[in-house]
Amino acid sequence: MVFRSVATRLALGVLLGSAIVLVVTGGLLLSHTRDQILKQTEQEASAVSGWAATRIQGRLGNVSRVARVMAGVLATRRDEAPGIIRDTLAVNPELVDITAAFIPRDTAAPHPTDAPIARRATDGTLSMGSRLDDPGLYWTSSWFIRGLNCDDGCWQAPFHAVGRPDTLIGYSVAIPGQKVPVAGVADATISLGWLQRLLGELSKPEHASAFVVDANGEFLAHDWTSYVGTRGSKPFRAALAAGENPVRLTPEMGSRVSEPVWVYFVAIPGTSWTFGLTMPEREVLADLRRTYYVDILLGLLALAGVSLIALVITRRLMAPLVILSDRADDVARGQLDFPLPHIRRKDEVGRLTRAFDQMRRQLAGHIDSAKQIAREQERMASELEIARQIQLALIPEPHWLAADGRVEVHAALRPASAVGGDLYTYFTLGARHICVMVGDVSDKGIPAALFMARTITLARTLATHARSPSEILGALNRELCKGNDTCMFVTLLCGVVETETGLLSLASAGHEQPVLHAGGSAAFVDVETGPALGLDTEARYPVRVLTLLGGDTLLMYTDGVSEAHAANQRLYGTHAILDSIARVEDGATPEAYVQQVLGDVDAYVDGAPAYDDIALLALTWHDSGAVGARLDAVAHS
Amino acid sequence: MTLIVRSESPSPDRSTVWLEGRLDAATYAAFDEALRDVTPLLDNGGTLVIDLSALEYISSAGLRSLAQLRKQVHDRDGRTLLVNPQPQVKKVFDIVKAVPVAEVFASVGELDQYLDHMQRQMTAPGG
Repeated sequence: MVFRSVATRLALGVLLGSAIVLVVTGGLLLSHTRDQILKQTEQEASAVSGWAATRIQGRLGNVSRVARVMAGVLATRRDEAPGIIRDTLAVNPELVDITAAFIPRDTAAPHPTDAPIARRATDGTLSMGSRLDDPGLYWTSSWFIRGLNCDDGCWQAPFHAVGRPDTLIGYSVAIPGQKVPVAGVADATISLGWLQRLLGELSKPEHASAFVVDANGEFLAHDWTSYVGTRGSKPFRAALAAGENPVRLTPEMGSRVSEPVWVYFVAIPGTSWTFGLTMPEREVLADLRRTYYVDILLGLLALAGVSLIALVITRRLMAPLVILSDRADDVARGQLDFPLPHIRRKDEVGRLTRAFDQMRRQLAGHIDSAKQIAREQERMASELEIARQIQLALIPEPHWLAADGRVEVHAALRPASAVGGDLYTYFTLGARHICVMVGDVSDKGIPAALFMARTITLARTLATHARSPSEILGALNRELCKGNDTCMFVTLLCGVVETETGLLSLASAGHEQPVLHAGGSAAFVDVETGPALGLDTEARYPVRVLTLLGGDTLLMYTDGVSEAHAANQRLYGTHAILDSIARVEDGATPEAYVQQVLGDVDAYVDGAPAYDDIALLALTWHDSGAVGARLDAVAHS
Repeated sequence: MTLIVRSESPSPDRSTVWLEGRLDAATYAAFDEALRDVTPLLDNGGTLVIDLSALEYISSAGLRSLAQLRKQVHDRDGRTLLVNPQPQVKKVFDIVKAVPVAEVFASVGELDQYLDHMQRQMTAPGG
């Protein structure tokens, strides 16, 4: 329910969106700052390393200088070697021993003075000895051979001496000979204990460990003392050999570390040694991580505050909309009379409220007018119904048997809508004549109905004094032409029967041909038509005369029958009417003819609404005694 | 099915209107509306020719419309001539005679012949 509110969704959206932005930008900042901090740490490390390397170089430089000076002195003063090395050792307190090892004059019988050594014991006392006391032959040992090749001096590998706990390292310089290029090796040895102490005394960054490593990757000194004298791990040595600086080592790479570390190298000039610092990455970045977490936490708190403010503001802005949506439900229920909040704001909500109010009023207006139109239509419908009753009252009964029983008429009228323009009528003319009419007014609906009413009323009035259908149509035409600016017209078939003889006179004003059913067969009666009534005051109407025999039936109809059709269907057609009538049995009543034709038409259109009015009239002449030839004649009035 | 009305008024004394489709209770109002624009172009005494070659059906409502048009033109001393009706339409004209049979022509040629004849009568001395 809460999440359906726009305000809540907006606040949550703001919170979520900003949190994503915060985390992403924070992440970018973190990565940027991480690089900066690593660079800064590297600078710090290289400063410390540089200082340490300089100090180490100074100390070692002193040793190498002593060794080189001695080599130069001993080149010419071999015999004074024991004295020289003793005196030199005495004035260089940092040295542990000094050796002046010459290539023996006779290797078969070497003399102790070939390789004198001056030693300083751990308590500071000096003593003299000979390299001949070494376990192996000194002139074949590796340090000596290596020293012979060091014209400018070089550092030997670190080693442990018997009776000393510390690691020692010697600097050897070849002693030039008088006749041969090299006569021997001058070697000065120092203890690496001072190096270890130096590392301890360095003001290193917190958590950093310092070390000194030689070219082979062997630790000469290390803050982690257990590492001293061991070789560095494979990735460490590879980085050292490749001169990478700084290098990141992880336990996964096979390094001898428990977590990722950064190692910073500085080569010590004049040696093949390298000073280095190891920093655990976690410690390097610890501050950064802490800052990042604090920043994120503060940022989230700020976002929560912003979201809360957004929630409150949106709820206040949306409050009128909540009322409006309730009111819209009212409108949906058809309830239009309700109070609306009075909003003076000019923003969207204000406009919406005003538009809503206007819509509600307009809707009420539309509903009122729709109701009025509905009432109006109801009134029209009832008026039309009354008009229909009046129109039906204008036409005579559907069935009629003349007083002498000779003429029987049956008719039907079916307007397509409430009122229509088709008509039929019949009436007596004097004592011996009967007039029948079927007509069709142009167009449909109320105008046609009014014109039909006019026609049918005039016909009865005008026919009173006439005896010929030609006269009747002529008089009716002249009357209908008066004031007929809209050119309404009516097609009309008029027949007059002499009841005693069955003599039938027919005249047509533009109407469909009637059908005569006589002697078991049906045929059209060809009546020459005159113009439809109401158009041409000069019109004349020829008369066709025929004599009916007993049982003969004349059927008159309008085009609502011949042109009956359903949608997209062919018209029913006059020949279909002929076929329909032919199926009626001889001697049937006129009602049977009307029912047959209407039934066939209904079956043809199959329930489709009628397009046009339908009028049908069947007239049967009964005279069982009358036998004679049918008399046809055409006369012009 | 609807009604299409096209018209052409090349000169003030003669306009031609073509009808296509059905002219019945549903379309006669459109026909009246279209002809309201055409008849004013016709001078008094002019000839309005209505070509019915494409008219497929005409009902009594359509006939009334044509009769009314004929009457309007006639009141201005003009003539309304119908030309070339299809057989089923021609039959309706023949039966109902809503317009004089003499004013319905089977073809344009017949119509021209009639118009020539009328012209000669009017220009003939003492005519």
